[in-house]
Amino acid sequence: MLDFMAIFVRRGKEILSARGKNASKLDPVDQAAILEIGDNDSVEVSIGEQSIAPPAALAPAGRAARLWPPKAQSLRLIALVLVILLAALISVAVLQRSKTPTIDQLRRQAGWSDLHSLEVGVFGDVPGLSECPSSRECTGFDVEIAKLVADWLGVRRQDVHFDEVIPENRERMLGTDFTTREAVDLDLVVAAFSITSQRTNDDKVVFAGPYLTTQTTVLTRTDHAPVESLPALDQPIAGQHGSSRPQRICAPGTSTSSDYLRADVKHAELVALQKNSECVKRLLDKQVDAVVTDAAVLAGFQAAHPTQLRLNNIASTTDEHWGIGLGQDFTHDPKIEARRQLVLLALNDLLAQPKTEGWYSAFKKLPATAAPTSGNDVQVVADDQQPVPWGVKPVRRWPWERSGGGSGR
Amino acid sequence: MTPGPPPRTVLTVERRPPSGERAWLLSLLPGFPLLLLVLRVWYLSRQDLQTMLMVLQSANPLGLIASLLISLIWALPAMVLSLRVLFLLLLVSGASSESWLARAGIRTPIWVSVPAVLLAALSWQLRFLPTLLMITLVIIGLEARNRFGAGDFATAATGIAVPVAVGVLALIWLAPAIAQAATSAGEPITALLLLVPPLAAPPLCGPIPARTARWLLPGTASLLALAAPILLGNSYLNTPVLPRVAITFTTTTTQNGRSVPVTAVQRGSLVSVDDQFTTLLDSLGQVHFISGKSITSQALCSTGPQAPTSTVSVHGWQVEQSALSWAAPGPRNTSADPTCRGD
Repeated sequence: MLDFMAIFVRRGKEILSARGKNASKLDPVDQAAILEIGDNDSVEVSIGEQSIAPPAALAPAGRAARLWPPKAQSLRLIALVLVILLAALISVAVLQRSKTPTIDQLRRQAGWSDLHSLEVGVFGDVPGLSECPSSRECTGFDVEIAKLVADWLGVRRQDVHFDEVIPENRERMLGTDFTTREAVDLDLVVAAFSITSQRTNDDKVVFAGPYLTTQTTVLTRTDHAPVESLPALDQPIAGQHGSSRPQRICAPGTSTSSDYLRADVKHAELVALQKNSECVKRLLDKQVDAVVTDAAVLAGFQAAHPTQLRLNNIASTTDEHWGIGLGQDFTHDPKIEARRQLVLLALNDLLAQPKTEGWYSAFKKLPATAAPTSGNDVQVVADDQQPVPWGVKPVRRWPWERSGGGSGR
Repeated sequence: MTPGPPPRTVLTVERRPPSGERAWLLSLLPGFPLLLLVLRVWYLSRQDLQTMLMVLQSANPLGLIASLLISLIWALPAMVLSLRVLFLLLLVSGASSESWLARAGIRTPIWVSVPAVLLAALSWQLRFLPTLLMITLVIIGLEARNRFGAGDFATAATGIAVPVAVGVLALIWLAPAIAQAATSAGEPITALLLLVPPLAAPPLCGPIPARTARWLLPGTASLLALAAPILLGNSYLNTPVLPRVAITFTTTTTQNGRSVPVTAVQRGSLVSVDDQFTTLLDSLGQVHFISGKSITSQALCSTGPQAPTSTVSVHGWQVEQSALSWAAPGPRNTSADPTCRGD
């Protein structure tokens, strides 16, 4: 209690000194009592029965004089308010952040806690991307990416089952066993599946990616005139007996390239087939004049028939970002979102691996560039850098799990 | 006329009439942890009274109190020190106040801050230690100002020189981590937590305008007191109070009309074990009684320390580790038992 009293008296003394009054009159403490210390440094002190009020002349001149220059007390007040606000803000942020899941929690949400095998949909008919003589013997870039993700998820490579998926079934995650031809529900689709706003927003397809950036291009026979842009396919081609006819262009149905063709090519005959390999077969059989789809898909066919086929370097088109499909989600299913985060984390961890391993060793399965090319430029098959995955959310991890490439377990 | 002795005046802090004896309120104190414990068990049994009674039958009160202590040990110094700072600011600002903050502050002995600071230094994560440093410096500065007055050397030293010097040293030590948090790690909150407190200590070691102090400081203290139960409750209700195990046992299933033995795994909180049955409470609040004869193996699903959310470390000290956990043996770099996965 004395402490409190002393502070009142000292405060009164301080203020009186500042006002030019003789403060010594206030000693000793037990002879004085501060009755009131007002808001504007006004002080009322009683000594004995006398009451001393501060002279009016010593009161602050006006409001403006009090505001500037700012007093130390005002500055302190600003600092205190800022600290209190910051403390509240940081407390909320730290609490929010403490809800960050661990990888095990994500696995539980994803229903992948006891994951021992994965059903992965691939094309299976594209050289360099996914060639599957049987479910167990697939090779190619997409296959390697699926195995890297499976590795991260703790699934042994021999327990990754590959099934055939055709472009139009990718969204529905419906595959076919390469050997038995039975229908299979897929866990992942790694099949040149471009992430587009139409697919993500309208069709509600959930993607984890991108894992490759490529572009749409045109594959023709070597006897075809070089193609430098998609609209160039509008030009009629010389038919039999000197007549001319519209070009026949093949594209896999429900692919992004068929959308581009419909937009840019008005006078050609479009042939939509289910599989890339069927289009290329027709091209080799001269039933169609060109195949239009992603360069990374066509490059393998061109490399397999270098004297018969040419990959044309067409004028720059929009980038195609390939993602791993996880199915359609119309109800914001936390299970699918958790799966997406896990696959994204797997791809993200590949970024930290050395340039001779992981993604880069998978990339070597793709033909690097396609030759011969039209003109002097080389048609680049795909970006030779692993793209940074989109939408990776933070997870709780130990430093040794974070060093990159570590198993999710 | 001879002047009489000067009248003695007693300064009364609170104007309200003296209240009656309130010592009996102290007897309610042990009730608070008890209330928390009951809530925790109720939460664990998914609000089912029968399950709750069963859990209470075999729950170990010591275990419950231990989990309460471990999960809330950081909170006690946080409350004590924050209220002390607010009270001292109120005091040196010369704001006469009837608030509970002033009454509680006057009744709290000064020495309480010392064990509170020590406990916080051991139990708070590194990222909050700059805040603890700020609070400690401000308390020292304000206590000195309160004791020795504004013009005293000790006040100037503890109010300006010491906070500035210590703040500069702290910032030099923390600089690499602040840079890491702000740039490569992309954690602005961690950067703020490390940067702001050393800067904020010197400006806070003095009075603020009395008129504002009168409502701002008790108001902040009240908000803090209101928010504390929410923060603590959230933290406490998520603390496990029973050990989590995975039990592998043999059971039978019917295949083609025939009974076939299969191996199954049940995960959950271990409620009790006797010579007949092992009782488990799963995460959905279902109780499972597993016959002791059918059990083939049992694994403790050690959660271990939780992995950090931040990637920032200060000279090798991860910012989410407390001094205690930093000094204690580290977590095992091994995954949990395979049967513990799932749930």
